[in-house]
Amino acid sequence: MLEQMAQPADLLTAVAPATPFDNIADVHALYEQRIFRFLLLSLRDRDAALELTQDTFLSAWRSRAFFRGDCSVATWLMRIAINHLRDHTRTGAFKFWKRAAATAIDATELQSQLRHPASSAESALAAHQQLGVVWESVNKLTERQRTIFLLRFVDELELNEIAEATGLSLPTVKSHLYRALDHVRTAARDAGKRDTR
Amino acid sequence: MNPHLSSEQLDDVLAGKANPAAVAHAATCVHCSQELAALSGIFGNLRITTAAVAENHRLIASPRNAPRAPRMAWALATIALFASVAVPLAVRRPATVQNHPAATPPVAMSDEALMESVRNDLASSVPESLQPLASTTTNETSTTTTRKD
Repeated sequence: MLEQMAQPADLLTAVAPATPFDNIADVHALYEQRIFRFLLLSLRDRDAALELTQDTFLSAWRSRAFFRGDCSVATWLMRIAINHLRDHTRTGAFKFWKRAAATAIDATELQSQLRHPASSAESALAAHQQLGVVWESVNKLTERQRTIFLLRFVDELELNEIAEATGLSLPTVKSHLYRALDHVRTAARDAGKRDTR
Repeated sequence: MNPHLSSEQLDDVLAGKANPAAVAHAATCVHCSQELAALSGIFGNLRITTAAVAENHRLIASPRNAPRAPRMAWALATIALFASVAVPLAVRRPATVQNHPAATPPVAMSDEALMESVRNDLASSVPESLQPLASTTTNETSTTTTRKD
């Protein structure tokens, strides 16, 4: 599909200035993994994440004329992905499919990926439990807090990059991030206290 | 006043952008250093495991192997329902077209025959249903005439 999309782009390059999105196949190959991961962790549903990932790259290609290079390609793509995510989570269908999704990911799937080559069984168990608690606490964040938290601690974006991607001001981003971090810290601390009892 | 690092300061320290005072505090305060170590471990594990899980799902969800999305399933179900209604209708229609020419001539013939009989009835002085009686009366008149003769 992407190769087919790239052909009409060649025709447009004659009249429009070149953008990195003209060769959408290359952009897709570079950033698809990252966009899919963000959407998967936000939605926790593989099918929905895949659909929105495809929508993101399609939108990026269609609106490539508006890319002026003010931000990086990754930030531009992330901004489109966040817009699609917002549209998707507002629909009633999302709420239904979220309950019914067979491809939803949970804490146990995450914990199964945790490797402890050098640690003791006790510390490995504690890490498993902490990861599960953090994963659940991230799910309880508001949509905006979760988006910012994931961009910061999973995608490791800078605060100004998050502000660009979300379209929020820097103080607003900080406010949401620190609230989210407070929430996660409290959950992790409570889980640690339960373990020591 | 809370002497320990706030979430903002912890985030700055984790990102390596904290001011010297926050860094100095993190180095000397047992509580804050433990929390920083715990958060650093948690977020590190979160990054590693989410990347692995996302990659697994991405491989499964690649267009070649992807299970059909719910919307696609609904679309297929709609197409199947439409086909189940439309196909029998489409199959039945040519059959009626084939039967129609064969059935039409007898109907047309019977109509013509009916019109012919109506015309005959109107043309004749005696209706067809009374013809037997009419024939006997004509016979009787012929016999009476012969008697007179």
